[in-house]
Amino acid sequence: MSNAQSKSSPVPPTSAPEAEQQVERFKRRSYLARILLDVVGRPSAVLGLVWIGIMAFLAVFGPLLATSHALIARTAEGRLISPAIINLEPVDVSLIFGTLGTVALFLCRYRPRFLILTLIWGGAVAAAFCSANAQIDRLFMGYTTALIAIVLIFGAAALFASTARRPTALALVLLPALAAFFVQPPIQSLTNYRESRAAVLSGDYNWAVFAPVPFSPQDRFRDVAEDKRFQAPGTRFTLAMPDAARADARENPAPSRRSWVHLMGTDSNGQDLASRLIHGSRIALSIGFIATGIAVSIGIVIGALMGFFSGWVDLLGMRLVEIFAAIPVIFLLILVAAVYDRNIYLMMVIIGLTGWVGYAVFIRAEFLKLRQMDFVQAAIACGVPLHLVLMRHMLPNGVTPVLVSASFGVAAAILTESTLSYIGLGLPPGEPSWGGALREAVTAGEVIWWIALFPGAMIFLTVLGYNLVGESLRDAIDPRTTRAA
Amino acid sequence: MLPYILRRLVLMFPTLIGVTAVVFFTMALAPGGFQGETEGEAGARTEGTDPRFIRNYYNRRYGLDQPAVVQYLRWLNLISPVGFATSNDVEYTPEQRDAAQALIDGWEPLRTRTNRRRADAIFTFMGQYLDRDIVELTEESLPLLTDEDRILELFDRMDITMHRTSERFNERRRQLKEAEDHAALLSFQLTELELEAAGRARLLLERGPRLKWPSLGETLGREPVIDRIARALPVTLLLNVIAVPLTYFLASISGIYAGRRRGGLFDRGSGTTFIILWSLPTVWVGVMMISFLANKDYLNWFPLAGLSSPEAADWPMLPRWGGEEGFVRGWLLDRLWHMTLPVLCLSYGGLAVLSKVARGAVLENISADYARTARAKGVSEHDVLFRHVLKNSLLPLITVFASLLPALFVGSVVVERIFSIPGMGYMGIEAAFAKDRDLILGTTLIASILGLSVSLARDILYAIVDPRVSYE
Amino acid sequence: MIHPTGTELSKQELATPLLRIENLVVSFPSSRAKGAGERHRVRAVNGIDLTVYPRQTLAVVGESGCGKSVTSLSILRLVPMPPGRFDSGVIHWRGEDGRESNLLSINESAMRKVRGNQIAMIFQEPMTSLNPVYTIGDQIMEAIFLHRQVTPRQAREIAIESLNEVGIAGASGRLDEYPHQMSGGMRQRIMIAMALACQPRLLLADEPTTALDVTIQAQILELLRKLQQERNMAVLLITHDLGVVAENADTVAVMYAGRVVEFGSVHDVFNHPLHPYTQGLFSSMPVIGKSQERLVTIPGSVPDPTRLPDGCPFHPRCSQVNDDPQCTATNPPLLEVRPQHWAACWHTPEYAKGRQTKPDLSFRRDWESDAPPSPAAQAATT
Repeated sequence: MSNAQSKSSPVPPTSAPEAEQQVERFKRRSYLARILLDVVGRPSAVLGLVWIGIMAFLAVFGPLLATSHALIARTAEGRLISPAIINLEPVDVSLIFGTLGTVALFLCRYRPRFLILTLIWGGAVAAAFCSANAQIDRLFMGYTTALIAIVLIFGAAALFASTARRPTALALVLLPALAAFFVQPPIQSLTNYRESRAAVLSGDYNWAVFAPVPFSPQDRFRDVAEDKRFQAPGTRFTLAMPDAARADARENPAPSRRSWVHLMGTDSNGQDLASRLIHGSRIALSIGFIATGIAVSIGIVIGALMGFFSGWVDLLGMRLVEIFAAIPVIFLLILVAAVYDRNIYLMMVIIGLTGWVGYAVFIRAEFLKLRQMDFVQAAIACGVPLHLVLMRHMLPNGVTPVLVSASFGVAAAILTESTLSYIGLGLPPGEPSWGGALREAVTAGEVIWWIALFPGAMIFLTVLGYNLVGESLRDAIDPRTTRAA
Repeated sequence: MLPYILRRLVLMFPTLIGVTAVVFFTMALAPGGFQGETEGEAGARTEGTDPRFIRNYYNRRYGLDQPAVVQYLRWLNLISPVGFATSNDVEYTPEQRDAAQALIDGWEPLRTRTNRRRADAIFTFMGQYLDRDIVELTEESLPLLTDEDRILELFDRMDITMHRTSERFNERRRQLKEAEDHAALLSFQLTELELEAAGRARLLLERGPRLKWPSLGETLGREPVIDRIARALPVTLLLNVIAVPLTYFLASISGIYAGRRRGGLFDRGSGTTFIILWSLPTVWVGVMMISFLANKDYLNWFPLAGLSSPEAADWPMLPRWGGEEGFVRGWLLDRLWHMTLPVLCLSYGGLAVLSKVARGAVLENISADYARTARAKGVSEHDVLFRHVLKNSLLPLITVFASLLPALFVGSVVVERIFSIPGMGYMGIEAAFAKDRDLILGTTLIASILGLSVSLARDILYAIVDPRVSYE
Repeated sequence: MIHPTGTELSKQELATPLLRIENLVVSFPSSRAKGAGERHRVRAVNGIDLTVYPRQTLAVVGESGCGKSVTSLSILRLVPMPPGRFDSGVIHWRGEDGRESNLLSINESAMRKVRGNQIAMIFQEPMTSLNPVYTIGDQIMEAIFLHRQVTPRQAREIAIESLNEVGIAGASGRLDEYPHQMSGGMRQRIMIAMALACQPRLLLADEPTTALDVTIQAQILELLRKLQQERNMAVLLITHDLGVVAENADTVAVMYAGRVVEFGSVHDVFNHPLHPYTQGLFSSMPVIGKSQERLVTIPGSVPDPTRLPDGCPFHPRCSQVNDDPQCTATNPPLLEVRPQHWAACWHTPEYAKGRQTKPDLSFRRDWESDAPPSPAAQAATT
């Protein structure tokens, strides 16, 4: 790395010694840190990261950004309630508060007294939840899970702030979050999406604040809207007032008829497209990440074993690789999706299970090279146990380029999911998936332009974001294309 | 070289077995397996039949009541050129079918001598089936004709597709039940079980392995799989045969120009364009094309679906002017017109990847030591590029070829789906939806053979271009 | 004989310089200099003067990164030009008709006629310097076709002959082999054969033996010397191996940080090194028969070209400085300190009286009746 990245440092140096110091500081960073710094210094990567960041934000806070329920409402009795929060799924709760908790954690690292504030705040939120939901039996189970997650997360925060063992603390943060994600209550909540709107119209709420996109992804308007399946972007949807409410309204000075706008139009079920796209980002991102994670893990394990032991392990592994390389993966995916019950976890697993080959071949080649290296031979000669040779000496040296492939892999997984959903073999029909939304673009020979345009653009931009990051990573790792001037 | 190719060809077999095994067991081990939805599907096809009967039918046809491994072995036996015959292999003429049906219908009368002539026809047919001398068989079988169970078994062996057999079973069982003849009922049920086992399209193991025509089986609609593939494969190949060379040609050109002036306007411009192209989801591009370029509401420039206009079959090959109908597009032009959007849709992604590879290779080689040597000899920059650098830069392009092919297959699946082109991808999706076992396995097999052949071709090509590689 | 070996050159021709480099400056952009707020370009070659005469071997010596290779690449204008740039300087080349032209200003097609034809070059890495996808015959004949009007059959004969000259047995069969089928030594011979196929008058040899093992090194150098004597070819030998210099060179230029710091005949430089850097180089060489606890090293390392120290670039490492303000303030020019011996150091005896002349020396060793080599050279070769 001949050209140290003084440019990528936030503050431009003023004098030569200072620059030198920065160069030195840069050189002292780990290889990975240097590469990440280099990547962050590239404008295209920043663009990609910003878009992915926006998507991640939507994925986490989507349930509060696009929901039919009022965010805050004041009931006629004068109580402040939040139907949006009450109607959150346990997954939403653990994601939102897990994210906020993690942000709090990082603040705590630099300002320890934030920890106390965070803990108080977390406790308050938890208590509020308990009291708000104690009356709603059907959600109780779900919130118990979520609460356990929250408590564990903030417990981890304490641990995190007190010790500097970052991996342990992170694991403690992530594990309960994951647990809460997977341990879902066996309750199918039947939500009445019209509840808040009706309440506003009938005067049950004095006032209410709605989300920027005031529709939930599965809030269907087919039964109440005009007899048209697709509503163009910008269409005002006016809720007809129920008779009882109308009678009520005559007596009281009732609010006027409320109307809401479909920003990106609706699909054939009358579901708001913008809302579906916002909620779809969570599906796209999580499938991308977890599927790639599975693929990379399998690939690394098989590839490392093949590369290190060679011999018959390699021979066997290569046959396996050959088999998986010869199967048209998309066909296998279609098959699995057709034969098994469809759900998001299955999608992650099958995309992961079919995608490991590239990583395995990569790691194998890398390990074959590394095995001959003197430092590995030296480690073996020193009597370092095998797993340590593999994990501590070889893996860190061989794994960096995999980052690049993984970044492209996330993009590819998102593409695969959208392709499958488009074909009709993706997620179950109700789920808000980007690819699934695209299916209705041409319905009975008629083009619904907003459905052709918006979901595809979301897929495209997200894939582009990952590809830009991957591209920058590759350039940063490749010494020949390291940023010049 | 030849021994190497032969070795590779031999090594293909275990790989192919592995590939089909993965696909087979993925499906067979699923809850519901192949059967999951076949009940409904087949029920719709043969109206008014008992679901139990249909399950029996599929059980017998594919041996679904046997362990998955055995099912898979049966399929292997089917596609192998050396193997055991199955009871399915016997070809019946329509007359024989009628005769057998009549025999079953006229079960009772057969006990009398009045229908001997009909029985003779049956024995001829059974003799063929069992590969036995007719006279011998007749003598042997005559006493059996009085034994109800035995004759049932014979019927069953004759033609498992003759659904009526089962109906007779059901009727017989009902009769026995009504008569409350428990001993007879028990005996009947035992026979039935025995027949269930025997009535399956059974491997005739006792005849020993022999040479036979390999077959890919039949689709659910009883059409030979090979015929379906023979119809679909040329379509997909046609698309790819146009897309691949086009991609390679454009990619090499743009790669060379981008690599020559590194950091120049063309390099940056093409780099940006290609990363955008690369990120464009095929699904979206296809949908946008069909929505805006091929729809009557917008630009109606291209046809919506298919590979030819319906009337194209009557057209001459080449376009023609004049005559009474004026300009006639001609078959060729019509075909090209239909293929423009699918081929575009299929090739833009590969173009982006390939030109990136080409650019990298040109960049690497243009500053290589041997290029410097050539310049020091007085070779002009143009010749350095097109004589020295180009040939070396082809090597990575050849390597990419094998990994490009699966991508093209994915592309075919999507593109064929969007543009309603009846190729392999379209067929694959249909087969998966219908859980058509033989069609799925046949498609997998053919696609894998294609893929492996391409990777072999790549290695051979590599050895031809790069003298350093030899497979001695 | 398709091409004659060198005829005897007249005394006058021998005394006329073949190549004169004057005040050559080559620079490259630097990313780091930018961040440090300094100039944006790094001078890889910073104002050097050199002269080569026919049948003379000029050795350019220096540590890696001192600008030796860039100098030789500049002569053929092979410095990659978008990043690199000629900031100033002239390279005078005396053509076959006796007229001088500036290689830096002639057009590209005229330059191509010089490359490979009049000036040939062999490179450091024989393993990668041949195109792997063409046979060596193709590659040698390509040069011949470019510069000679010959039929393919004649070209093949010339190629076979030049392979024979570099001592490759079974040359006609070898022509159809690919580079990867040969060893490193063989490939370097082929590089030489390719360079010599068109009878160049100047051969630029950029560390021709570095990548080879010692026995092959000696063979290759011996071969070069023989061919040089037969053809009156001048050689610019770039190396960091002082043994090679002592064996082969007529004149020696020592380079440091893009400048020539000492220039003279091989005898003068080896017997009376004037510049502290040259002295340091010699004292860091092991001498046979003299047991030393430890080799003397030059303290410090080659300065970063993006941050050259002020004054004499060698002063941070120099043993004679003692905070001399002259050394740290002004870069000493190359002066003729003793007759026909140039040096650039304030501390050289009689530096103040030195004359400001261009380094120009037509000295040649008489290889036929070689006087016993100088002691230092003797030591160095062993």
